[in-house]
Amino acid sequence: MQATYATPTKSQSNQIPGEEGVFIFVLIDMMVFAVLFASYAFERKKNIELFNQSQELLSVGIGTVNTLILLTSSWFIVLSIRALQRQRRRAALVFLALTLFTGFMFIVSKGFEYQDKFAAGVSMLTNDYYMFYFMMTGLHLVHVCIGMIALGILFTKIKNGTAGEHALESGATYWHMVDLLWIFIFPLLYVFR
Amino acid sequence: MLNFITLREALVWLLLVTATIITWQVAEGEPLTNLSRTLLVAVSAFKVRLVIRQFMQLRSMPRPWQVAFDGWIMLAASIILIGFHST
Repeated sequence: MQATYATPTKSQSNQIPGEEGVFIFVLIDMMVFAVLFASYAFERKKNIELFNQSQELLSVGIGTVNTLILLTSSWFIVLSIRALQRQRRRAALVFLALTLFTGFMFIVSKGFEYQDKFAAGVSMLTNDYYMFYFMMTGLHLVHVCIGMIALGILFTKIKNGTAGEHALESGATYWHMVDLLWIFIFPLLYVFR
Repeated sequence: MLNFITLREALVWLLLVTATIITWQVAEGEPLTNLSRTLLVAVSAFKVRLVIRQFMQLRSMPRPWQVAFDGWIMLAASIILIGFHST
C-alpha cells in the first residue's frame, strides 16, 4: 500500500500563518494601545466624577453593536481563508467582500456616533474624558480604515490570481488585531465607571 | 457547498457573541462593583484570547509567540482592573 503525503505549505511548515513580520507589527501596535489604556486609567483616577458623568452620553448598546460587527467580520475573514485553502476562490471572495462590508458598517456606525456627539456640542476639546474617547476610538478607526484598504487590495489580487492564502492570512492577522483591540476598548470607554 | 465552515470556528463566533451580549446586559443593569468589573475584565480577556488563538491561529504558532500575546492580554487586563479598582 502506498502512503501519500501532502506537501506542507509554507505556513504549515513554520506554523506561522502569513508573514511573521505582521505579527511583530501587530504586537507593537497592541503595546501602543496598552499605553493608551494605562494613560486613560491614570487620568481617570484624577477626576472620576467628570469621567463618569461624561461617559453617560455614550450608548452601551451602540458599543455592543460595534463589537458584534467586528467579531462577525473576524469570523468572515477566517471563512475566506478556509475557502481559499480548499481552492474555492469564488467563495473566498464572497466572504472577503462580507468582511469588507462589515468593516464598512463599523465605519458608518462610528460616523453616526461622532455626529451624535458633535450635535450635543461635544468635541475632543470638551474635557479629558472626551479627549481620550476621540483619541482612542479615532486611532482605532484609522486602523479599521487601513485594514479596509489592505483587504480591498487583497480582494483584487486574489480575484486576479496574484495573491493567495499566505497574503490573506497576513491581512487577517491585522484585521483580528483591530477586533481584539475593540474588545478591550469597549468596556474601558463605554461600560466601566 | 459550504463545507469549509468548521463547527469549531462557528462555535467560537457564537461564544464571542454570547459573551458580548452578557456584558451588555450586565452593563445595563445594577451599578458595577469591584467583583462585577473583575468578572467583565475576565470575560473580555477570554474573548481576546479566543480571537487570538482560534481566529488568528496562534495556537499553532511557536511557544514564544503564544507567551508574548498571552502576556499582552494579562498586561491590558491588569491595567484596566487596577485603573478601575475602587477602595
